[in-house]
Amino acid sequence: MSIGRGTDQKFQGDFRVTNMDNITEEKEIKDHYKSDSKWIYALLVVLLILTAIAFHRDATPQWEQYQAQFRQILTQKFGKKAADSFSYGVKQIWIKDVNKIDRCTTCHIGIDIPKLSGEDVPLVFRAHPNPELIKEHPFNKFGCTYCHGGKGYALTVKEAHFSKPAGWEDIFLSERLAKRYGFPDYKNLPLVEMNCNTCHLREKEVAGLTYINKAKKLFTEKMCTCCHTFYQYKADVGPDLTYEGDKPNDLYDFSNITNWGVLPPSVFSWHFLHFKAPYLVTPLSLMPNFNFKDQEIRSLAMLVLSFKNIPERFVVKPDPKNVFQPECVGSVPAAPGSFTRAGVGSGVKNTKM
Amino acid sequence: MRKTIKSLWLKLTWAFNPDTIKEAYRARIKNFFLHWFPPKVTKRSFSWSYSFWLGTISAVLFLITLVTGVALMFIYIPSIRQAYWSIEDIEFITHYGWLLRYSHRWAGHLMVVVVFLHMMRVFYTASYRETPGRDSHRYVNWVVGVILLLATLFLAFTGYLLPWDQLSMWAVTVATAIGRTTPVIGETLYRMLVGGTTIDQATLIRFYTFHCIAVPVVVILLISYHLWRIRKDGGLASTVHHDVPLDESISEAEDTSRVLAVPAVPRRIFLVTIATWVVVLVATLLFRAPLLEPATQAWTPNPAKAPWYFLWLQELISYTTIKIGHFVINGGFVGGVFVPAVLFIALAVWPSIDNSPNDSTGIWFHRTRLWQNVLFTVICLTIVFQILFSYYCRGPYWHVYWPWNRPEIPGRF
Repeated sequence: MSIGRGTDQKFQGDFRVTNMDNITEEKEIKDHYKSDSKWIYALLVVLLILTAIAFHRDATPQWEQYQAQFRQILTQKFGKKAADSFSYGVKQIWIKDVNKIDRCTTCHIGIDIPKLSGEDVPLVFRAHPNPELIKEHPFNKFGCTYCHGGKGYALTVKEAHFSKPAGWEDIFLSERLAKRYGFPDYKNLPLVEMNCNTCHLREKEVAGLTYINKAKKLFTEKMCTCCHTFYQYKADVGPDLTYEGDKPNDLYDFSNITNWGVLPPSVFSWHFLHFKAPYLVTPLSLMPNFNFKDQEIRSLAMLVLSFKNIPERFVVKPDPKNVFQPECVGSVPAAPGSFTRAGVGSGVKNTKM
Repeated sequence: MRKTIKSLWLKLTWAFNPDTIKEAYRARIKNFFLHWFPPKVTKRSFSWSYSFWLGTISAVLFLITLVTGVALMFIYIPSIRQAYWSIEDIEFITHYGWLLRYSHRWAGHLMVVVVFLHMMRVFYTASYRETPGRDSHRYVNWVVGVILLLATLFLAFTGYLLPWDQLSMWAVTVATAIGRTTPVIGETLYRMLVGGTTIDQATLIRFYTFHCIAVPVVVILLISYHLWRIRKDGGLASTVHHDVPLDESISEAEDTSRVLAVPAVPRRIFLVTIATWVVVLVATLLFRAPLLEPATQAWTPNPAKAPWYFLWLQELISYTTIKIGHFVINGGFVGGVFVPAVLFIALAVWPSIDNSPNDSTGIWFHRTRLWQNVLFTVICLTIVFQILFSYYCRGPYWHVYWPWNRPEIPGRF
């Protein structure tokens, strides 16, 4: 009886194994490749160590160290009772309206405790320096990252503040960043004004927004809307600026910028250099050189980058006396020594809302 | 009490401590986990330098991805609104979420590498050749292996989309656009896979189902068959027919070429499992899995690169897209579909083309197979080089740069 070529032999072999009565008992059979055991034990030790490292890493998150430190400060300042009422754990602000989650308050716990505003409190736990602002922009409604940028989901210092997004996602508008762009008052986080202006766009002047107010004044004075479309102000000489802040970085032409100078290569720097000398950044540009000062350029770059498309319900309705109306009246005023071409602005009509 | 524990311990471990050959055989047959091992295996099977245990390593890596993957499924949400944020939650909030995610990712990438190396090993040793004097079907197993390689690539590819960040979405956009260029069926296939014309919610849920259910089930079935087949074909391929009947007249000492499978084989598999696990864990602890900003159609990363194991195709496409006047060669089809299809078909049918003598079976770089080994090596090295070149030297606008001064498109600030 043959099952197949060669297989019947195999079958017999297996059969005999189960019918083991005729197998001679042989004491002391050799355990082959027993040296594997040594390696197994060695690797098990390595595995144990690695697991311990993983356990340690998971059991001691960075935020817990901050909260422990915060508890000490509470004990020093307000006594043990106050410290005991503090509960450990991840804290987050959920802004339902935009489905945004900010976990910044996990470490920045003192941010809404006015008593912790002194210089002696470490910066991490210090209360927000501008309580009046917070009165109008409560944390539970605005969170943190809407104004300051950064990664609200993250729970490590590095990830939350300095993760490096390549494109549109909002970067943390830090002191360091403002310093890099040469803001003299970088300690006041001037770049945050950009995010203020996404909602306060329709207002001519907003208390506190030094740069944006100045830029809006320039925007009106220099009659940008004679050449650029901006909401209801229509013009077709230059590009539409209505949502300039939403323009992704891959739509910018960086190829003509050979020397960034002290500035880091970025969209912000592109605008900076463009305002300084438009035809050097875009050679065929009709835009005049207005001979802006550096501070004015910083303001204007911030302004155009704050032109974002946000839901209408977030936009602040301005006081009738305080409406931002950058109308184009008549012709473009020629800046001294500027690069202008005949006819620009003269024939452009604007439609008022 | 002590006696009970001791007898229980002995019961559990007796299979690994047989006193006699009889006991060894009986232990193997009676144990569910051991019964699929043969009674004896060749000493050659234990050689590290012959097989590198690559097949076992692939299986272990698959197991790691399976275990971590199921755990991740409890937290991950396959919706384009929440997928990215659930990954962030896995990373920052969930206990050991980072461990699961990184392990899953590194095990998955390693699996692609190891499965490819396993295929190379089998080719170089001509192990797809039938065993002389035995009713074997190694050719079938080779084809199953090629399908498993494709399945591994597809698993890695479908998993690539799930974090729904800029990296994953655009990599998948590139890779699916490559497949779309296939004549006649390309568009239909693309729409079936993507579920529309753009990468969107329909794509995510399809890729999720493929990644978590459909493909793993197929892979599990194929791996089971692959293992069963190799067991039936007598283990590692060899010129010598080792499968002589078990004869009680041959004592342990006399049988020089074979050893008892239990406990040597399970112990070795355990060793390989732990070693693989250690490697994955070290990678997990040292390197983070990348996560860029949430996916958006609004802007494209420059350059947008396919997943690394498809980069050689993208590279080929950039060479084969040629325009001479009005004459245009469709690089997407030539480099992205035609060349890889030819290569994989050639791979699958190679055992029937290979007409070298039987002596070459199971021997590394046998001299009678010199030319096919050279050809195979050239193709493999080309693929590897293309991948490395594309990964490190391609910068914005697909221009070539040195890896150390490759510029980046400037960001917002």
